[in-house]
Amino acid sequence: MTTQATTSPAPRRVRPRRRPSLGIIVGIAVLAALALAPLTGSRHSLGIWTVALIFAGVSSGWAIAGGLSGLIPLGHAAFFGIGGYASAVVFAKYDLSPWLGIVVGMVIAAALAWLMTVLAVRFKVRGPYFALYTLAWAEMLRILASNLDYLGKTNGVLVPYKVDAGPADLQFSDPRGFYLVAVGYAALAMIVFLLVKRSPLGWRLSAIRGDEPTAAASGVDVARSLTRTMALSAAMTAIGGGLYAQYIQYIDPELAFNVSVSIDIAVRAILGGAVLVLGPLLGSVAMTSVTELTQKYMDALPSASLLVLGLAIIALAHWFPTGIGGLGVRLKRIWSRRSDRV
Amino acid sequence: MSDIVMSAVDVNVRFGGLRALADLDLEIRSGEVLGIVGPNGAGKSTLFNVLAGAIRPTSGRVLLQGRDITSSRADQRARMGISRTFQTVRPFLDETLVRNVAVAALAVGDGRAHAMDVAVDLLEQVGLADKAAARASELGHGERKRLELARALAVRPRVLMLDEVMAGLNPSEVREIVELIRSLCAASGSELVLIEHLLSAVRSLADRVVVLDAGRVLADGTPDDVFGDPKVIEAYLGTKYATS
Repeated sequence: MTTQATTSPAPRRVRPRRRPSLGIIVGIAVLAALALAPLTGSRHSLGIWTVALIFAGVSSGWAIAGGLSGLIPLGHAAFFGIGGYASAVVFAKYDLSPWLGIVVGMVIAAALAWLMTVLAVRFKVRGPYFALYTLAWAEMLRILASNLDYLGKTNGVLVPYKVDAGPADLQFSDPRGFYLVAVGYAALAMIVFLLVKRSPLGWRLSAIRGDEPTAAASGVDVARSLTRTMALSAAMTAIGGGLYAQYIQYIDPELAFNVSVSIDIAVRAILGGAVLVLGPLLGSVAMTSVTELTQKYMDALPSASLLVLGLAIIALAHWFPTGIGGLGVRLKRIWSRRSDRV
Repeated sequence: MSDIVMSAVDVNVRFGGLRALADLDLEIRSGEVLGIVGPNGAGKSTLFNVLAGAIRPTSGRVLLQGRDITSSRADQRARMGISRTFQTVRPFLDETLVRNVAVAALAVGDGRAHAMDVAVDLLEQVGLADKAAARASELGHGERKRLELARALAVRPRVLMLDEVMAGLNPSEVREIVELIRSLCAASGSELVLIEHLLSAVRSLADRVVVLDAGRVLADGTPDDVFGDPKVIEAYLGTKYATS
């Protein structure tokens, strides 16, 4: 009665369309180039690119949830800020390694994300409501941090300089040290993104993104997939928050939890392509470049960067809804079609 | 033939003031193909949703081989082997056909490689093997219905519920899919429950037909008995059929 037509298929291996690994190759090349970049050029923009890379990593962390699952979380400042505060507090108040603080931040962020998502699934908060719901969580944390003496209220927490500091304290005598840490973090976030995308969880997320009822009818545990994904995404984001606070040696409620931080994180991924491993990195580089170039050449118009970014996002949404990375994917398809014809 | 595989016991579903299912009892027996017909709004799809766990009944119970599964979710029931297709087919458009099917096979199987093999096999059975690497968005309507069938089969169903798989298909596609369902029934041994507006298809496939009307069972019997029942003819088929 429970026999079925599909038992033990012959061990033939039909593997239609193994995902091309061009993205990975390009990713490795880009990261290697970024790692070597400060050896050649001037150092004055190193700080800008350190931050850009930290945010590329944060954005990759966001994309684990925002790209792969189809959820639109718009409150990742919550996890970014938790990471920032955790690393700053552990270092400044307890004189322990900020790396430990980052781990503490990851655990708290993951726990909060798990709780948030359990509630969202229970009460069927989805789509734009999920975006607002997550945003509200980040706002709650901002207000909480602004009122807690322990976290220095609106003054925030200063990360002190340490005498004979080393990599264990995330303080470097050479600014290239922190830059390389940022490259490493961006690479790690991209690897985790790729591992999730290709794992069984990634398959389930893709189904959920496609259609939730059909996914459930296919045996996909929607609730568990989403809670796990959000927890992982939050933990990866918290690392970036921790690095950021250590880099600027300061964290306050606005830098940590402001709505603009949440939006910044999401926009970088969406701009580059949230379902592509290279997307957040491309988006982050593009966004920082636009900001820098407009500040340099269009300084008569104070918010020119926002204007240019806004237009770029509208154009991308219209022609390339999968972001800058999607442009590359499409070009590659056109190319392979042409070479087929030859 | 009288082994009961799955049953709905005294099921009521209310949507606000609307009573979609009223004190409904239904048995799905071992080895049979059960057709469920009825006019629009009779509660056919609601019944499927209750059996598949997509909606919780207001009252009543759902049993699988005597076990109460009323409170288990849709995904749990899918893994128990209660599989369904949707009336409005919504495949995972960005994914390849093989991945559309493999994700369901993965839910019950061991590992991705095995799931891929199962998926390729099923796509071959529904005649979509040559498009296995294409994206679902590239498929036409009829092909999407066949993809849905393959996806539903991938969880190794004990009970397979097909919700209007023939709606919107042209006559030759209907013939094809009737043949396909026939052969699948013969091969798989899973119980098959059909919701279908196309009476000719139900007549040629079903061993037993249940007629729903306004959330109640109006008639239950062999196709010949049911379609000859004056009550059914009046409520559902119309006078045209009474003479033919």
